[in-house]
Amino acid sequence: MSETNGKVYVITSGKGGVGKTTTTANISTGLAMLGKKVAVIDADIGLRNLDVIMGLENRIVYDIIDVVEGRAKLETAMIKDKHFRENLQLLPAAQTRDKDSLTKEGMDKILNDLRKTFDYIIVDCPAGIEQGFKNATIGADHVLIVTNPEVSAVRDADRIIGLLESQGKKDIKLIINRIKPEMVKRGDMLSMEDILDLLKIDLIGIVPEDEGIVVSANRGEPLVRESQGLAGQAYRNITRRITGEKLPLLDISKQAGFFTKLFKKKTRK
Amino acid sequence: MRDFLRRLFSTEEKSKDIAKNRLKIVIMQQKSNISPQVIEEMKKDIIAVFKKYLEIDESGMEINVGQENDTMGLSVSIPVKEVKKRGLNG
Repeated sequence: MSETNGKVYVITSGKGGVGKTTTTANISTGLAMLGKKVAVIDADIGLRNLDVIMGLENRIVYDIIDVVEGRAKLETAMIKDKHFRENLQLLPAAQTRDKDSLTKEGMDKILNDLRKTFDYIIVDCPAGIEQGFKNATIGADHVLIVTNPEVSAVRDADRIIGLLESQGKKDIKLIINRIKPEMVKRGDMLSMEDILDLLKIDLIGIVPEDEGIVVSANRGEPLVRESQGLAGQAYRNITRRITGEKLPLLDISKQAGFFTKLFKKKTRK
Repeated sequence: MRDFLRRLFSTEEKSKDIAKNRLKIVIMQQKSNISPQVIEEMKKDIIAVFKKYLEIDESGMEINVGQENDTMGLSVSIPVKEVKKRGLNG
């Protein structure tokens, strides 16, 4: 039997609430859309949320701690996605345990098992700098840091980058989430260039603020699957970059209002 | 734009109503007097009973715990792959 030797990506942030879980759901779904076999792990123990974002909350029977503590087999605990079935599977977080229940050894074993059958393993990792964070990040080959263009988020991102670098992580890339082009244009929001200048790491994508994110979370359907909006495009671009494609950055200044777009079309005729 | 038009002309349920229904179930589970551990244990026992008689697809299972007034309801949906062959006397 040939072993796939899947790549492990950890998605994390310094500050909570920057869109880490939404990013994880969209990147995992995006990779499955490209025909990759994807396992997604919710390692945010105690605050299970990836299941609701992916619309799989009613299918959970076992969780990651059941697997770590030997009460369930890994294959049984994995939940198949509604659309992608075998090609997108979620290992849910435990809701009733503390973050330390996810041991380093337990995580290592799960990752090594998943590497054999999946192309990509995406880990939604707790924010912050506790032990839970260390155990969840330790087995990763690649790290994606999510930040918002806000002072607190950027400052905490810097702390987490320092910590990851001291763990010996080589491939750390940044996702700037919820950027508002108009505010950047006015000079009222940190720009992509400002943030890269401060954090000094490589960028893998920028995701503009998009109301569609709320709607897709309401429905439990990550928007990368069908949205023509800028956030959907941004996530599709990020997933293609993960698979090694070189793509230009999304031009977020194109984000014009509905009426300006209508007007432009009319004048062109 | 396509999203916008779809939303404008669709007769489908509003996404906020879908969200509210989903959250109702999730929050009820979190708040129910039965501790989440007990619910988890219960789920596992239910599965064990079904597995004794049927070949089931555990990954396709859906389990909902809901509450109406003072009554708690549990609904379980289990995709059955096949019925296990058993002798006449069980």
